[in-house]
Amino acid sequence: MGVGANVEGKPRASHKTMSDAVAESGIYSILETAGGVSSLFFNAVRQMLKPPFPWVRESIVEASTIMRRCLVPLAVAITVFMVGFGFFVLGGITKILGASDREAGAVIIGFLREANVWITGMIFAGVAGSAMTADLGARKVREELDAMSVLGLDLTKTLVVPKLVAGVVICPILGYFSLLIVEIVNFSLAPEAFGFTRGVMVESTKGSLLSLDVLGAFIRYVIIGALVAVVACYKGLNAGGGTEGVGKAVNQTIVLTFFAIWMLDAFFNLGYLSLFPQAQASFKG
Amino acid sequence: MAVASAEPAPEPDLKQADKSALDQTVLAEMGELIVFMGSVVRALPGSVRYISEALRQSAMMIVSTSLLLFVMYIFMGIVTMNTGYFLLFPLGAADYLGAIGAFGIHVSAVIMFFWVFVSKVCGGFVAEIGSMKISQEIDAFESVGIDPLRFVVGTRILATILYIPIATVIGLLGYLTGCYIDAILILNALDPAGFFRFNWLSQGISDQLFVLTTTALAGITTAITACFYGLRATGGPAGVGDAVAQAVKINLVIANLVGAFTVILWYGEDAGVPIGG
Repeated sequence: MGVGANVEGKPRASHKTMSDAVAESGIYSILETAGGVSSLFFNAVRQMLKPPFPWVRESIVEASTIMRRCLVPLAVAITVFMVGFGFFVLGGITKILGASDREAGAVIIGFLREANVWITGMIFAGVAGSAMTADLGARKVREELDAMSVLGLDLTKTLVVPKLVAGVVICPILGYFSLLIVEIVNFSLAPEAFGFTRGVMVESTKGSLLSLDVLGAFIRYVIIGALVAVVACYKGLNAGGGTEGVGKAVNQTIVLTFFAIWMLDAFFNLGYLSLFPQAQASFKG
Repeated sequence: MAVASAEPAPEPDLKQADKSALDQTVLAEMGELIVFMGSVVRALPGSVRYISEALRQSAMMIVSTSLLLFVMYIFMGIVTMNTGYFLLFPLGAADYLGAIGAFGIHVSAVIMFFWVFVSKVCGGFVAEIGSMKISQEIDAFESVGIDPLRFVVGTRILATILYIPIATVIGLLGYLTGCYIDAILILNALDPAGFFRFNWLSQGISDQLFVLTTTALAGITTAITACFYGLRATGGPAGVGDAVAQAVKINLVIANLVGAFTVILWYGEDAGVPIGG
């Protein structure tokens, strides 16, 4: 017990030191989580680059599992959001302002910069992140992780690296796939709803889209993929307290990753639009 | 069906009972879910007897989710104002940001409730009820004569119903706060009076009622679905994890469909913005 114990190692009667108080507080656990996640990330990257590479096959299997699980919820969610936010809100606003032909440009920059990132991120975190945490947490509860350590397998290299690689690879793919769905829905339904031709939509999209936007979205997806994978693995590997602990770990993963995705999105966009003024004025139609 | 039969099976010889559960098609599962929803609605009046448990569940829900919901709604307001500002600014219509603030309530703000509720509250329900199921606590309830549909599921649904008005109010306030923070404080796009004028011009009581209705419909539907998947969890802790993943996945789809349905039902094609007639 350190400072709080007397010479024979028994704790002093009702004596709580400052270090004990700090260790029990909520702030410490937040810092501990942050430190643990970062160290797990760096450890995973280091293990990933060290030969041999047994994680390649595992990560392909992981990636295909994530892709399979995420496609349908992502397609439905992005379609619903497109019809609701894209048509009713963005389309309604441009129609009222008389700028109806710019609806396609508004949709693509609004969705590429904002909506796609957080919808894809949240589906990815909710479906894939919670599955990763539940998987590793269940293994921890059944002491499978200890058995693997006894056998001499490095947990990070065997379990964390495939999930990290799968997350980083799949998240941009899902992001651009959802953008494809947005454009399919837009191009199918908008001309009849707003009364312009598809040629107008193509021109508006071409005029508003910057390659900088696509690159910015890619960077964000990669960060989100890595973040979700590492946080999920950390929470899963440290899930204590039986099955309730696994439930709590899944809960914490989802809360933490949702928060992080939203903060990243809000502040990345503010910074990006300030640093690159040509992106601000890109909505020219 | 595509989900269940394509799962990588590490042990090729499954017991017959588990195998038949895995082979169930999506349609059969959805059918069972609808039947379950009916039986929960039928059991709800009986679970008023366990109102103390419902209040306890509601208290846990309020304490754990309110702050997160409020902060997420603030972020949603910030992001919506970002999009709206950089949409309207090149058109020279930056003064109408308040209208976008009110508009956003229709769709984007309600979606935030779906995400937070489905992931946190429904995930918690599935994990809790799933753990109860695999440790045979549900069977123990039945053996002492307490109907688990009333005591376990019904009280959680009552807790959700109690939580919904609170979540609506938190959502509306949080969204307004987020819009204000972004439009006035961060972007300096317009003055507060202009922002609030268009904000209150563009929404009426029917918009607030829309938020309440969508929140209620989506919340109750996803809560019942979560309890359904929790009660069907088999196969140890890994089964609970699978149930959580499956439930969150299905709930995200259901919540979005309910939201879309309610938007179209309530609004049709009328945007309701008081500009230009």
